[in-house]
Amino acid sequence: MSELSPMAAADDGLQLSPPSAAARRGRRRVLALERPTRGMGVPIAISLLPALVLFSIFFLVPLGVVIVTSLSDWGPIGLSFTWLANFSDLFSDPAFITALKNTAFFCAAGVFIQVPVGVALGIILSQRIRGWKVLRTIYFLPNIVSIAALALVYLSVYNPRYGLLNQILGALGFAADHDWLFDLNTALPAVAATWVFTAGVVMILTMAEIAAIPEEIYDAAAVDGASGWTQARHVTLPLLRNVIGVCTILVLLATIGYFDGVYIMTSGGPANHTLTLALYSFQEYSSGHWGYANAIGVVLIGLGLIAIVAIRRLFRVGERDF
Amino acid sequence: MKSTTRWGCALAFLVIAGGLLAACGGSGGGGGTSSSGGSGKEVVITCESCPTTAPKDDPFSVFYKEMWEAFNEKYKGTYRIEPKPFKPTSDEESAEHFEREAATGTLSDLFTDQSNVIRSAAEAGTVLNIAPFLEEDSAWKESFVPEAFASASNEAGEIFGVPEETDSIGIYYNKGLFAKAGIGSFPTTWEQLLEDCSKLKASGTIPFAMDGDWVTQLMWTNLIGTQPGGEKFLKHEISEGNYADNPIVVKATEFLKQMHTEGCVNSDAFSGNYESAAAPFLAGEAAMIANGPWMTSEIAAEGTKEVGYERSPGDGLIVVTGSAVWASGAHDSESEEAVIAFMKFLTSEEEMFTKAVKTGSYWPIEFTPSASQVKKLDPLSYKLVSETPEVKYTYPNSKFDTSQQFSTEWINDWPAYVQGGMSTEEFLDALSAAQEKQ
Repeated sequence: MSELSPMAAADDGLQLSPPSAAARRGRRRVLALERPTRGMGVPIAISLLPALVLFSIFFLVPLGVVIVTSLSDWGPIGLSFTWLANFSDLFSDPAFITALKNTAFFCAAGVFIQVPVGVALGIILSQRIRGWKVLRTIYFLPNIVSIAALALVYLSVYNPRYGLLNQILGALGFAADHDWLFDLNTALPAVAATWVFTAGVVMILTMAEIAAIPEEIYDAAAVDGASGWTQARHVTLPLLRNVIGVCTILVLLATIGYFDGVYIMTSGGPANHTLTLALYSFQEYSSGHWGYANAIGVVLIGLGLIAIVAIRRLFRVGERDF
Repeated sequence: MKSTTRWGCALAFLVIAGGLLAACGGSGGGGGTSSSGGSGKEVVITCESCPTTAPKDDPFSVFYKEMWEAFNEKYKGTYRIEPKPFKPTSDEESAEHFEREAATGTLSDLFTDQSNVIRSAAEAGTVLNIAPFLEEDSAWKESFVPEAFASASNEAGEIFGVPEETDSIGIYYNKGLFAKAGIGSFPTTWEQLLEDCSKLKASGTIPFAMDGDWVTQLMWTNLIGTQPGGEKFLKHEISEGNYADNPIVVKATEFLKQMHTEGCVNSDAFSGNYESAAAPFLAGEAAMIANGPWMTSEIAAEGTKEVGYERSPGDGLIVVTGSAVWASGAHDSESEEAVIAFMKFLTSEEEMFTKAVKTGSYWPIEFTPSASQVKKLDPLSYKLVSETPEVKYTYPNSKFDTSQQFSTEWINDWPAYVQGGMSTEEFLDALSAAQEKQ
């Protein structure tokens, strides 16, 4: 009996046992570049040298300084090593714990609201509905504006005395003097609402990924009787695993280090209800507690690394199913 | 690609990258200013608080620019100020900047900031002690009002800055809005203030403009200072914390909270942004605001009508000498000599009077203006200055002896306290902890 390849067997209409996990992995397209040809190694290394030097000076050295000084009591007056004292202080510092919780809240808002909203919009607009180009442009516009500028706009929108939100609520017959940003109950969601729906980048990346899905897959689904919605749910969405992972990483990294918007709108108040880790680090730096601020920075870096590794594994980022 | 071509490309890339790096380095260097001029005669001193441009609506910048230019003109060939303007966007940024420069020994020859910032910077040992220069020139020393140097000195008798103002900080009120509410005169007691608050609210006016920071803390200061023992607390005890144990502070804090809970303040009174308080007052929407004499220029610029300026209910007045001082990081005797010449020039009667006319900010020196000079001064602010000797309680501003952390904590916790998220004790303990943290 001659050996039959799975493809040939399928062509022959033969039933084969399901492929093994290793075989499934083998069929996935791993997004990696080819190895350089022989003899190009040294020139490539030399070409990379300036970038590596700049990377070392402007990233690795500061990173090293942050890590080393996080082990010290460092301030305007001087530096003395206290080793892990800053880190043990952090976990008994109520402001740090609050900042950690608030940062987690912002991350969750990004992952569970911004990413799904962006992916949903990407799928909907990829259906080429009427006016999709205009809608895509309109929805992407807030991403062109900086978070700081958006925060200034929202300061006016939320202002209890003359803000647009209260004016609309007043016109609808509701109480029109609520201080959204400085009320203990509304401060955190009010700050999150200023950016959580600006999912233009997620939408664009999703649309680009959908455009790369081979038409044959949709043709096959159509032959099987799948409608537009069924195709979106059972074909498109599963194939977006990779880009959803990428978007989740991007959103998480942006929210873990969220600073400018909250600094402008509330400075972390009221009573630390909107304080983030990045802002707390800045506040401690401004107070002359540079070592403590850098310890918070090290925690931020650690959380960022854990998030990247976890999401890469969870979503198998870098591998496509088509 | 041939091997030689590949190597050629790589080397060319390196040369270009190296050139770019060198260009970056070149543009960042240079421009250093030595304290002494190259000629050996004219001493050049650097100044980080001397503006090179002055918007017309910023009277302080206009005065400072004209003042250092006048100094250069007067001492042409002997001393020259070379401005290196530092423009902070916040008090925190300014404080951090000067403290870092003090720590690294890179302070400019002249700069100005709040006296508590200067005191903190002086701990690094790089701020010039001007006490010996004052001792050398007794006439200059005696030209200042008593306690003029208290804000910028330490227990060892070292003095780290020269004051340039004495401010009597009262309460502005809109006479038209008072009349509309049927109120004949400014309240003289705190109980009367609350009664007037109800009348103003009923007439559709915001009774008191506050911001959750500067203006709110001025009222806290007034509430403390107009109680027996309040002046002592504000002068000598506020820097030590333990506020919850002091009944004067507890009473003042709870009254201020009551003003908020009874709706006596604007709805955006928690922003921590001065504009939240200034804007409704200047627009004629709020009836009262606590602020210093420098606000008269804003009132004039905005055209706010029928404004009066009074001492606090309870017959008190915040009087601050040396809230901001000029200091120096000069390292050599020639620069020190030039710096002292500048400080004497700045605190001369002529310059202090000019400053009062231009900015509404008054002098820290023993000086009585002539009748013709008085006519040139702003009547609103000068009225309060001239009344100061008659006031029952005079006391410094609470910001005078508290840290930046105290202010940050206040902005952070005040909304929570007013909304009932913290008790008075918890709020005051948080302020004490912030003050003790400095």
